[in-house]
Amino acid sequence: MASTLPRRCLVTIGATAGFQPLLAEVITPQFLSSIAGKGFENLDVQCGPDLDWFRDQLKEIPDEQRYGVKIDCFAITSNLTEYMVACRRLPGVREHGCIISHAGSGTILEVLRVSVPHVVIPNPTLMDNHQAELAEECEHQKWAIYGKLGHIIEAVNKAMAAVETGTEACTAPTPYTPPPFPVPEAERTTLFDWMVLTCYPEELRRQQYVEELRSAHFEAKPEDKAGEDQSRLQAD
Amino acid sequence: MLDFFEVFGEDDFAVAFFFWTLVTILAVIGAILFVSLSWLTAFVAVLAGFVIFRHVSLRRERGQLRTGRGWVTKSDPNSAVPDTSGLPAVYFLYVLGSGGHSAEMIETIKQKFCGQRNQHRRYIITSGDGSSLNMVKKLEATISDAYPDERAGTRDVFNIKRARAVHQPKCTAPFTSLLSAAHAINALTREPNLRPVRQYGYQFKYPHVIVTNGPATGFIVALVAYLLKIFYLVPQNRLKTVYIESWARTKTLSLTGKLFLHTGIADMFCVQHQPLARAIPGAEYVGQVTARLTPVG
Repeated sequence: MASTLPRRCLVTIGATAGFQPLLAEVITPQFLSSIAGKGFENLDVQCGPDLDWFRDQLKEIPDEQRYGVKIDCFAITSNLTEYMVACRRLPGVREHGCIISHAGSGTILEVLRVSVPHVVIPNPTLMDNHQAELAEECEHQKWAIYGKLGHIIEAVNKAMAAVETGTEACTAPTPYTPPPFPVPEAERTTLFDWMVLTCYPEELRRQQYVEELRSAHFEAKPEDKAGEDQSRLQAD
Repeated sequence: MLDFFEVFGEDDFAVAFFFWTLVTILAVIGAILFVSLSWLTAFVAVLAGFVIFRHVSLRRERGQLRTGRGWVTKSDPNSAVPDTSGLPAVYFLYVLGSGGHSAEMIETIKQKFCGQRNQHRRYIITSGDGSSLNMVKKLEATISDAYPDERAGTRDVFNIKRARAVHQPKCTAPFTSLLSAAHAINALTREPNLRPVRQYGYQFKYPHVIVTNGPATGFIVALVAYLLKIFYLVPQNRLKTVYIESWARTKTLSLTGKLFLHTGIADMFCVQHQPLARAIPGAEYVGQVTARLTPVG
């Protein structure tokens, strides 16, 4: 594969709480040399409330310990999606990048939509470590790699290996297209509409009755129904 | 009293709430001083009995509603989807929390949205939560792009005081909770400005469905809604609460989830992961309503 194409890395810790251990680890010389060896050229860091602290840390890193990786940092941005899209593979321009996040549910959902190799590092100091539960589920569903503080390099290696073998959920077509809105009728969630109907019991009963009739009809003879539809279409 | 008006702005309902709270407290103190203890005990017992009776009967009604057709999460192309476009009003109230909760809620709304003229949406945001407000603005921009005509429906945003700020001491939390409860009453009962009663009748006066997914504010709003229903202060076929456990909880319930489950105030208690649904009796597995994920191939 073409390893000459550059890669980008995004580190995000969310807006609510700081997460200094993660930020400190991604600017260690070991980490930077490791990702520089894989072809990463940019490292974007979303620092949230830790921005000032992170800037101070950055000042202390000499250029030769950055291994050519360009580090940008910002507190919070309204177009984080664009940063995520910038980590996607674009044939001829850049290879698969990587996103390292704090395992917040909002971030995980967004990364899944954008579909980029993803490493989640739960913050063990948050309320009863509830993010670890989600991180485990992510690993189980192959949505992301569950990394632990102190072992981020291994997790990133694993994520990059997973994307080469195609076992991670980042095989969406390039270039990036945002999910359709409104969603197609067949995929729409109708739970809440049923709930509104419970406020109008007569209407609910009527629609349930119609629905039961229809489903009974479909279960009895699906082929006939399809044929009927076909003939009706032709008649129209 | 003047200060109250400055704090609440236009929220006259909240001012009335505090006025009546004050009157009640004075009445109770008066009762303790001048009425015999047996009368007071009798009064409290009758009140408690009434609340319990209403709670049980509300839960029983709910059970009857659930029989018959099973709830569907995603519409099946072969089935008649629930059609709400013919109803006089469709009014949703969404309670946004912070960070992840809001992001999930916005995604849930996107997954359920369809353009209809007869809909109104109200968002409840805790005061000072700018990022949630931005998310709502972004969502509303998306909706009006997709539906430039009247099918986008109407919407408004209500602010609610946070029940407990991040570093607020615990001893003052009950008072701020009371304040957010007062704001919640206002948000639940104020008619939308764009759907005034004199034009639309009382169809848009109260929300049909309250959707919340885990912030503490959601519980306060749902509790206030339930109390309003218990004391017959709102029509009985309004203010149905749907609690959706956060997508982040796969095996255990969150604190708000436990509160909703044990008090039983939600008309529907939904979870989004199978292992959690198996572990919690009474929880409805509705699939991943916040995320439409392409299967891993």
